[in-house]
Amino acid sequence: MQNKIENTLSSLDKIQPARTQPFFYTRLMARLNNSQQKSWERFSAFITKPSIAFSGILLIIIMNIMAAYLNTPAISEQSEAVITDEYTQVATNFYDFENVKP
Amino acid sequence: MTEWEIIEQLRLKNNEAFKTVVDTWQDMVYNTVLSIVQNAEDAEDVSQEVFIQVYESVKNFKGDSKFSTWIYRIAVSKSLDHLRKKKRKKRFAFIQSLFGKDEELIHDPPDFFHPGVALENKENAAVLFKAITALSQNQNIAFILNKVEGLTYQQISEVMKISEAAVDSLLHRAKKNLRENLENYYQYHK
Repeated sequence: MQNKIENTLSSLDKIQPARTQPFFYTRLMARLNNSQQKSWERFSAFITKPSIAFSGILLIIIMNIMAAYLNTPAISEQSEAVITDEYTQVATNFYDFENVKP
Repeated sequence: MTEWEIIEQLRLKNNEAFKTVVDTWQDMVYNTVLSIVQNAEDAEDVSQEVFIQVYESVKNFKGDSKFSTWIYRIAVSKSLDHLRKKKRKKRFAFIQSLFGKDEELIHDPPDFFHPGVALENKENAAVLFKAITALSQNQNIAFILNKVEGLTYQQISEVMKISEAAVDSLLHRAKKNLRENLENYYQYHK
C-alpha cells in the first residue's frame, strides 16, 4: 500500500508541459473581436431598453430642474435697488414739475 | 524587443506585441489552467479568457512583479473562477432535478489524463489529480505550481502573494493530505 501511494505521489515527477492546440492565436483573436463587438451590442441593447431609456430621460429632467432651482441667485437688497434704478421709468416731460433736472 | 517594449506596445493595443505575448506564454498558461480545471476544452476556453484579460488590463500592470508572474496570477484566478462557476452550475442543476425540472444532471467528471504524463504513469497520475481536487484551494494551487509547472518556492510566493514560509507550509500540508486521501482511496479500491 505505501509503495502504491509513493508511486502515485511521484507520478508527476517527470511531467512534460501540455501544449495548446495549433492556431490558438487565431481562435483567440476571433473570440477577442467577437467579444469587443458583443460588448458594444450589449451596451446598445441595454441603453435602448424602454425602462432604462425612460429612467435616463427622467433623471436628466430631474437633474435639470434641480440645477435650475439650486443655481437661482437670491436677490440681495443692493442688487434689488440697482435693478429698480435701471428699470424705473422716469418720465421727464413738460408736466413733470417736481423733476426739474433734464 | 525587450519585455518592457512589448508591454508598452501592448498598452497601445499593438497586435504584433499581443501575438508575441501569446506565443511566448500560451503553453505556460494552458498547462497551468489545464492542471487546475482538469478538462482540455475548458482549459482552452479559460486560457483564451486569460489572454483577453491580459490584453484589456495591461494598462494596470505596474511592473512591481515579473510580467510572467502577473500572467500566472490571472491564469490561476480565472481557473478558480471557472471551477466556482462549474460548481454553482452543478448545484443549480441538482436543485432543479429535485423539483422535477427536465434539466440534465451534471455528473462527476471522468478521470483526467494529463497529456504530459508518461504512459506508464497515466493511471497513477489520474488518481493523484483526483486527490488534488479534494485539497483546499491554496494547497491545490501551490501543489500544481510546484509539481506541474516546476516553480520554485520563491516564484510560487510571488504568484500567490504569500511568504516563502507559507508556501513551504502549504506544500507540506498538501502532501500530508494527499497521502491520507490516497490511503483512503486505495483501501476502498483494493
